[in-house]
Amino acid sequence: MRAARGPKRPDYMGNPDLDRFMMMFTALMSDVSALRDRLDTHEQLAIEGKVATPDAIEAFEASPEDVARRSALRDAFLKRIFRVVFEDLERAERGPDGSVSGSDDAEARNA
Amino acid sequence: MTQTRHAVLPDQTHDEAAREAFVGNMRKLFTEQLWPGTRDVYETQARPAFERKTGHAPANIREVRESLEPSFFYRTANLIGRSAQEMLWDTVGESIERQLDDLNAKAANVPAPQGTMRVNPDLEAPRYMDMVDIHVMPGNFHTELGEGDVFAAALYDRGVHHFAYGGMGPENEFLGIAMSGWLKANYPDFAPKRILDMGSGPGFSTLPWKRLYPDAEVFGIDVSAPMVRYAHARAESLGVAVHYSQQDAAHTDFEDGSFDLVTSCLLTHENPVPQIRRMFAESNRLLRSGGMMFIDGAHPPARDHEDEFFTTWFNYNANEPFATGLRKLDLKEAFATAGFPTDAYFTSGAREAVYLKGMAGKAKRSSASAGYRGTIKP
Repeated sequence: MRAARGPKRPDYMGNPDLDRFMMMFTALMSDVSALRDRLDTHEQLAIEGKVATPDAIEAFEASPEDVARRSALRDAFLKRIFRVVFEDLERAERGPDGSVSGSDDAEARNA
Repeated sequence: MTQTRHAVLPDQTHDEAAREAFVGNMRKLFTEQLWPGTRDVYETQARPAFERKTGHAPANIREVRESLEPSFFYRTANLIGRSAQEMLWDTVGESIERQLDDLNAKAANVPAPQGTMRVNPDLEAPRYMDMVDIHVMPGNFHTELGEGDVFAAALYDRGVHHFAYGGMGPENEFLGIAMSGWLKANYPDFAPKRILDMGSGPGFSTLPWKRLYPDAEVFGIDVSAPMVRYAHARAESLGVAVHYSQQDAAHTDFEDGSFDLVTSCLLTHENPVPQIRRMFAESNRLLRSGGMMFIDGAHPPARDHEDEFFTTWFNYNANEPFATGLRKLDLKEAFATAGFPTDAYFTSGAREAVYLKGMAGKAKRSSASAGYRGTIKP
């Protein structure tokens, strides 16, 4: 069961197809991130002199240090992918002299 | 923070755990940076631009939204938040579907239980529960996928953990611990012998009550059979004796005056006001003289339309249609209407939220809870 009942998905980008592409994009990010974790497990097993068989990967218990390192990697990954989003926020935080990014295309779209 | 293992907590493969952790990081990004950032964008860009264009500041919640809509940051931040919300259930759901038969079997075969469990196949879920899946969680809290099903509860147990990226505690119990702890600290002579936790779900709040008052008989009710089955297996596995039953909190089968404390945590804000009023009236019926009704609070009332806009993200983006109703409800009046004396009303006063601290950004007041509310039957 994967579809929720209730009000339809809100309109975010002015085009529901674009919204759905973002959902696919973030799902792909999730899988890339999971591959990075799996690579990290390979590396940790190698440090212990072990071979990264599927069973060894499933049996690997991440230490608190492993968990923290991976979380930091994910945070950095998210920041890189969404750089253009944070660009706007950086300008907002810089104050009224920063240019109003994003408004040009949006105003054209709303016209 | 990892979750405390118990008999019905879903397993994770290496990659399931990795994908679930990623959703947690995405939820954190949204909660602590993106959504608070919309307020900065509003104040420094959107509102001034709106004022230049119209000659006045946004005068209502619709105009606040209208002023922000041209912002790429605003639209994308919201979409990332919504994506994380949908991906959360999808990621955890895939993992649970794989092992559902096993989880159902474990819930059906609890060894040497100290507590009890009963479901009621004749109980129909209230209509409003079938109209909207709260939190966009597919199937809501109560849908049954088959006989002896626990899907919704397993999904919620794992899902809430990642939703709050661990901030709710290893047993998602921090809200329950804080709430029960406040009552015990402020009413040290109150020693309830029978406690009812309404809308007990997987038991996040029920277990803290039993642990704090170990001599009390503790009951949990939920309208969802999957929740009741799961909560029973979970509580037994964690060594806590609770009596769970599938019931609508508006009409239970317990006797008049049979409880010392009737409580709920994170229940009222997911229910329409008429149902909330019925629950209060039923609580009044169930309490003995001197018994206490005690609930968690909503958000404090919004200061103005801007504050309202920035504290209602979940209402409009994650299917929480009833939360506004509770926020606007005068609980003092509602308690009185349910039969409690006006002068028995008490509140903890506004409290800092236990989790999702970043949600309101720099406007810290908005991350507060309005505080616990209670009353005593004469």
